[in-house]
Amino acid sequence: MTDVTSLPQSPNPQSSSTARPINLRLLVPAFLLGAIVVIACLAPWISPYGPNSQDLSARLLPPFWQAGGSTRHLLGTDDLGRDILTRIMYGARVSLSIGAIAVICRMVSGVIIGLVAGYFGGPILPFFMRLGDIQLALPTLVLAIGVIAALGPSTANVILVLAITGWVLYARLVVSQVIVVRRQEYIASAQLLGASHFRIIVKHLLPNVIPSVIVFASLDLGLMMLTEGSLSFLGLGVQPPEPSWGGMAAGGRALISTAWWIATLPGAALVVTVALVNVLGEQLRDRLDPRLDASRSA
Amino acid sequence: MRRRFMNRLIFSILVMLGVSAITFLLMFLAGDPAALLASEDATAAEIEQIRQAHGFDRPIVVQYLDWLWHAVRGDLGVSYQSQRPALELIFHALPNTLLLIFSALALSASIGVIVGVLAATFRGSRFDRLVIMGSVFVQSLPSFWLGIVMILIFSATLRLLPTSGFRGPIYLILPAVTLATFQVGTFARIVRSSMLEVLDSDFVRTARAKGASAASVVFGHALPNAALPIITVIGLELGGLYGGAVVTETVFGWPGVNTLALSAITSRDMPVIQAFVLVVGILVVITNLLIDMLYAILDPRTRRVR
Repeated sequence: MTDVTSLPQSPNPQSSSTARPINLRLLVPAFLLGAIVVIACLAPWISPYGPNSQDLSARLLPPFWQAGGSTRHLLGTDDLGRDILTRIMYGARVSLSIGAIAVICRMVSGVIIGLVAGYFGGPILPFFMRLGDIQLALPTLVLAIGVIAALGPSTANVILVLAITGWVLYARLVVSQVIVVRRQEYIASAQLLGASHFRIIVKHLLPNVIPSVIVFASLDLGLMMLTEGSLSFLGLGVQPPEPSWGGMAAGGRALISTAWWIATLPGAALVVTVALVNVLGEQLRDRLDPRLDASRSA
Repeated sequence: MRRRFMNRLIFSILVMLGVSAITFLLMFLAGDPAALLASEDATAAEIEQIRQAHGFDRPIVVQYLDWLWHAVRGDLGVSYQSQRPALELIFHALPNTLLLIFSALALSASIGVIVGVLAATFRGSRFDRLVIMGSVFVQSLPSFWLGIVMILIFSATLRLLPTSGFRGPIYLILPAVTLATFQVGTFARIVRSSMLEVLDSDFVRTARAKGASAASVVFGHALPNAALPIITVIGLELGGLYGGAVVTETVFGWPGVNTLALSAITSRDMPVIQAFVLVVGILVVITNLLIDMLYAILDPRTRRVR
């Protein structure tokens, strides 16, 4: 649940953030996550194999530490002889980019709606809030099944589904703060000085909500990556042969008792990445916005 | 109190209507419903005929009201695939899904409460830190991965539990644990923070000063007062469980509504998809309504105000 009653504070609490010593719990996960991003970007130059290049003479090779494994395929190969490590590196691009794009879409649409609805109030506010209530009655994956059944599975449709199921969370967060800030005297002063609505929203309201929105978005990123993984696992997201962690897990499921590495290693990459994202989000929250509670519905 | 209930009830009905409108519109998102019904080599004239026979040529609002009128009477159309009523198919699979969801909820709520209470009681201890870290970790676990790993360990390697299907209580164990894991983290955190707040309050200090035992303070005084936010979160998490069950059912071949809906996607069996989305949406709304009423009954303060 997000805290709706909190009073707005100065968006930049200088005193607490500059005085603190360098935090290893912030730096270590940030460094590791940065390394994953770099590996994802450089995948074509790091790996000698293509993500979809098949080698039928090297099918179902186990990881190098198991009997029969070789250092030529460090994490083994799948049933078509594709290199698992290569596909995991390429899968990182899919997971990170879809996660980030989805969060940006949710955040931008939610913040705009929240600012406008919260500032103007009137009939716009209850309209969007009730629309949000309807939205929240449909769990993300359930609405995803409906929309993707209708539109067909594709990467673009995954982002669409994630955006339309998420704007309401951001909008509520923003509205809860805007309706408090709106009553402050400096807003009234700005209005009296003849500032336009647009200027008041951008110059005076937006800076107030940015810290909590950023914290919320960083905690949201992990959830979006998990949801993308789930959708691709269900066959509703990124379509094979494009390597996605969820899709790879689905493909290797049938071989779980003979070739465990195909289904489990891509998921493990997702676990590590999401855990790092979540730890960073928590650290960010403690620094920027301790009022925002992380526990919320999935 | 009664007025509050009436307001909530009316609000819930409005939300259900909204859900029904979204469900109805899915049909049109899918493209021309007449073309979807027609066989693949149908001519334009044949499609036109189907359009008129099914009333797809009427204004959309008329079609919605007509659809809604049928839906209220339990008619959501016939499955393209099996030619059986879509709602019947959903209701046939629903008990399995509800069994899975409520088993997972009972499991995650009980573990979450125990762990959260202990963490709050021993605030700052090694156990407390372990709980905080653990809850972040379980929230990073995708349930498809957890399910596969559990199958690998408990079915493929140890041969203790069955991998898929539902032919007895033992089949429930892996899916319920998989589904419960994500939520345990959420519950443990909210119980911990809610308990910490209560443990800091004056009446707990008074109880301690009177010489009440530690167990009596924690379970007799603090926990009942920390229960309200916990109930709210359980209600919120139920929506997440309905969604999370989609993946869990797929991994374990659980014969529930989600498996049914996913198989309907491949054949673009829109009546089944619509029935699925509508039924889950209504269940979530009803759950929230019940939680809200429970909240009002349990918290005497909300009663006095209204």
